[in-house]
Amino acid sequence: MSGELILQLLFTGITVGCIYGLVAIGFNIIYNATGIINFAQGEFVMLGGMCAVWLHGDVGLPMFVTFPAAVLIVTGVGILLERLIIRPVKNPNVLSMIIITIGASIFIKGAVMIIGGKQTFPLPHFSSEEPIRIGGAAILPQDLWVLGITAAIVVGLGLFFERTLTGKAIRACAFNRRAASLVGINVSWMVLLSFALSAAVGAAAGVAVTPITLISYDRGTMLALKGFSAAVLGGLGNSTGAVVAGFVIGILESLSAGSPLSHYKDAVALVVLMGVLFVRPSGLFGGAEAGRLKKF
Amino acid sequence: MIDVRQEDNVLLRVEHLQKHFGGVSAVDNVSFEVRSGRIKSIIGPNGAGKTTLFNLISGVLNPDSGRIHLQGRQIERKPPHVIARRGISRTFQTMLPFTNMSVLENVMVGRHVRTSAGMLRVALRTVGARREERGIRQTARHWLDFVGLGALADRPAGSLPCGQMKLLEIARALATEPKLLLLDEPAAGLNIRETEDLGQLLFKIRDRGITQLLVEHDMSLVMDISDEVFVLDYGREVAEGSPQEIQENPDVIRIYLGQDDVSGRGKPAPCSK
Amino acid sequence: MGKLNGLAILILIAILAILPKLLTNPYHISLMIFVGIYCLITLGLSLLMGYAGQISLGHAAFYGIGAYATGILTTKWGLPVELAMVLAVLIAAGLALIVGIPALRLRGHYLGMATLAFGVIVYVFFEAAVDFTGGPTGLAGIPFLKVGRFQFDSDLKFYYGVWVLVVLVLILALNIVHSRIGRALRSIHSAETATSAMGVDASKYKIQVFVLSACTASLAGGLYAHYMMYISPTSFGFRFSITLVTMVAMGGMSNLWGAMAGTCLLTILPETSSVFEDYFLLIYGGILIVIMMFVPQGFLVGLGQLIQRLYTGSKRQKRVTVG
Repeated sequence: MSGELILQLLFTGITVGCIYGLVAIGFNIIYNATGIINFAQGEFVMLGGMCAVWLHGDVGLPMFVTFPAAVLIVTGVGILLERLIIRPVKNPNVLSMIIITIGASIFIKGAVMIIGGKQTFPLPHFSSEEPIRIGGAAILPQDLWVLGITAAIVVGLGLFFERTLTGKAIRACAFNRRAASLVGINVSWMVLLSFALSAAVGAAAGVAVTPITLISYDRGTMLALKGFSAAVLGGLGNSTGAVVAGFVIGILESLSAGSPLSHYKDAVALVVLMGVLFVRPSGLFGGAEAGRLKKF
Repeated sequence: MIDVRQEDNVLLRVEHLQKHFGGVSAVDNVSFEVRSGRIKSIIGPNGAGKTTLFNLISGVLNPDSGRIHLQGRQIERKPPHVIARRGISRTFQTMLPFTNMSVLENVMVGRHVRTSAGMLRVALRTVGARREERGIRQTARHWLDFVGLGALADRPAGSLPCGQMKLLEIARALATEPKLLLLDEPAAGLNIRETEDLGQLLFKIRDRGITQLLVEHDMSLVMDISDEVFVLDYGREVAEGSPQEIQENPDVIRIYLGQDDVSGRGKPAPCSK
Repeated sequence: MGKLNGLAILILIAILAILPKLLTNPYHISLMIFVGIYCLITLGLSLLMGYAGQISLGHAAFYGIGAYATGILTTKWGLPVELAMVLAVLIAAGLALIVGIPALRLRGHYLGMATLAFGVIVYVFFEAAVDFTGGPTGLAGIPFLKVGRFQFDSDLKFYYGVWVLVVLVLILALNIVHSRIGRALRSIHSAETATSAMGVDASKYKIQVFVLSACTASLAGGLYAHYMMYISPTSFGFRFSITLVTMVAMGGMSNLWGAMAGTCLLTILPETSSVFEDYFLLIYGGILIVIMMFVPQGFLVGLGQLIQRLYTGSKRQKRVTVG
């Protein structure tokens, strides 16, 4: 492979890696607050893209309105998911919660398919479509948007969880739910908030990446799987790890796309996932605690 | 059924057992012996490391260092099911019945370790497998009657009230034909009458030749039934001796001073209403 | 296994025997063949998920491995069908062992994700290894199923062949459930720590039942391959894995008869109207959510409870009006 090709694949990998990292962060937020792994996480990304397509294409809103509007709508879906399906479960055990969230993800996918159809939809780039040449490879301005939005989210969430009272309250739930409720934290609200945040993060990722990858109703599943790979690789619950791991997986996947094994590209993230689960479930950055699942 | 001959032999020997969690020593250089056929109790304030000790002996946890011998054979670091096969079984302070099965089936699971029909033989329902199954059912019923739960055989295990669930755990553990029975706070939450009945049951078990090691807070039970008492505090041995000696030991009295509840019960008991 | 089960099996055999006489439309016989093939998978999956309490979100992979193994062995390597089928099951069993030993050390979500990942990896392999599997265009020219001189070259013969196997597997599964192994599996599901302390080697049994479920799934895959005589990767993806889980969940996780009922329903119902095809995802998603939230013991038991509640409700009303 030529140096330029590698550089190009690296750039693609970083962009894709941002998305995987954001999906992973979404997993982590909900997992940290509740111990649940939300299989529907990928659908939030898909919904973000689809809503943006609808708001911009059909409704005709300009992009700077579409982005927050789409995020808001999907946040609403996340809230509905938590209230209608997650909270009412009387005896949450791991097997049921897995199947319920899978059911939710399939349901959402089915609803979108019926409403929107099976085709693939485009979305205009946020700014220019002219590629920027760096060292023989090309970056799209949209790639920079994705990178920028990812950075903003990571920094924003970091500040939120470290500096604000609400953020610290959610982290308290992660450490010890009972203790958190005993000091007056409304655990129920924190759980709701975690779903809302996760949905918002996913939606933002979805809107940002759709101009590059296009969107269709069935994109969610693979995104969820690959994002989960990043979450586990980074150490479940660890959000810096999630982003780093997202990059690792995105780059590995992209490089394999340029190799003779390109047909197996989709399997790369999953092989990484299985490898991590078998060898070191706590991932790269997780402590021993991450290897053991929380009870919820 | 049980070998009653080895009266004065050492059944279990714990040597310099050490277990840390983070910076805390849960079990700190603990050594003791349990002689065959005896009843030994481990007492100590809450957080003293008693359940950790049980978890180390039964194989749920691995020690950082130290040895555990059962009849001279090393068992530390062996997986729990191997230790059960060697002859140690236990009950659980938090109570873990198999709620998806009946009371009798719970005890029948206890027979698993002494029976052998594998997946193929049971799938084909060989004559041997069927015979073994009849034996399992019969023996399980025997142990259920032994603890006094015979009439409740077909009830769902999860529906039992607390005190009876404890008896079920004992029956289940007995069904494994243990040489050593570990009882984790068997009297927790029982009233005075129930505790007396429990004491009688433990004597019955001793008469069968089964050695018993208890972790317990209820001092009246401990002093009544124990041949020996071992006192633990902050993971370290404080004293060891007969119940009489322990009651008069100033160090033991000191560590229990400052406890509001004279019986030493600090934690909320699982069976209390 | 109990007299009730024995009676139920006899009734099942009787129904299966006369069913072809009643079904005039050959399409319906074909449908029943599919029900049978899928039951082979779901019986094994019910043992794994319902009784042992483990999760497999990628079981379509074993179904596919059975199909592709026998398909490739017969078409590309010219092996006789009987041998290819046996080898296919052995290959699936071997893979289940390799994947199962590390995977079943995981619990809960991790196990679910590992099996899901495994399922997708196998699917990607079916699509990508074009020289081996034929890729997205599939593998054609798979010969008839035969045993010795006897060829299963008609739907009727296949129907009886498949259902004989299903009844056999059902009997074996029922025997396992009502034995010390069945109790061991259920105890692992209920309280793995406690059952280990009673001497049950949980890992061994989880792996055994995982391999067993892979064997029945791959057997089903082989039968499918020799029935359709053409296979392609789309039948063996995530969507089918979820269909399988839905079938087992519908019938109540730890209920072999329920698994068969769920399989029957979810195979036949989609065929009753084309609407189902469009709303497939919506309906399956909805079923999974509703079942796991409200009737985790399965729709049969749930239906029975509902009827009971309605019955006692109406009795109470009568009493009020009289008193």
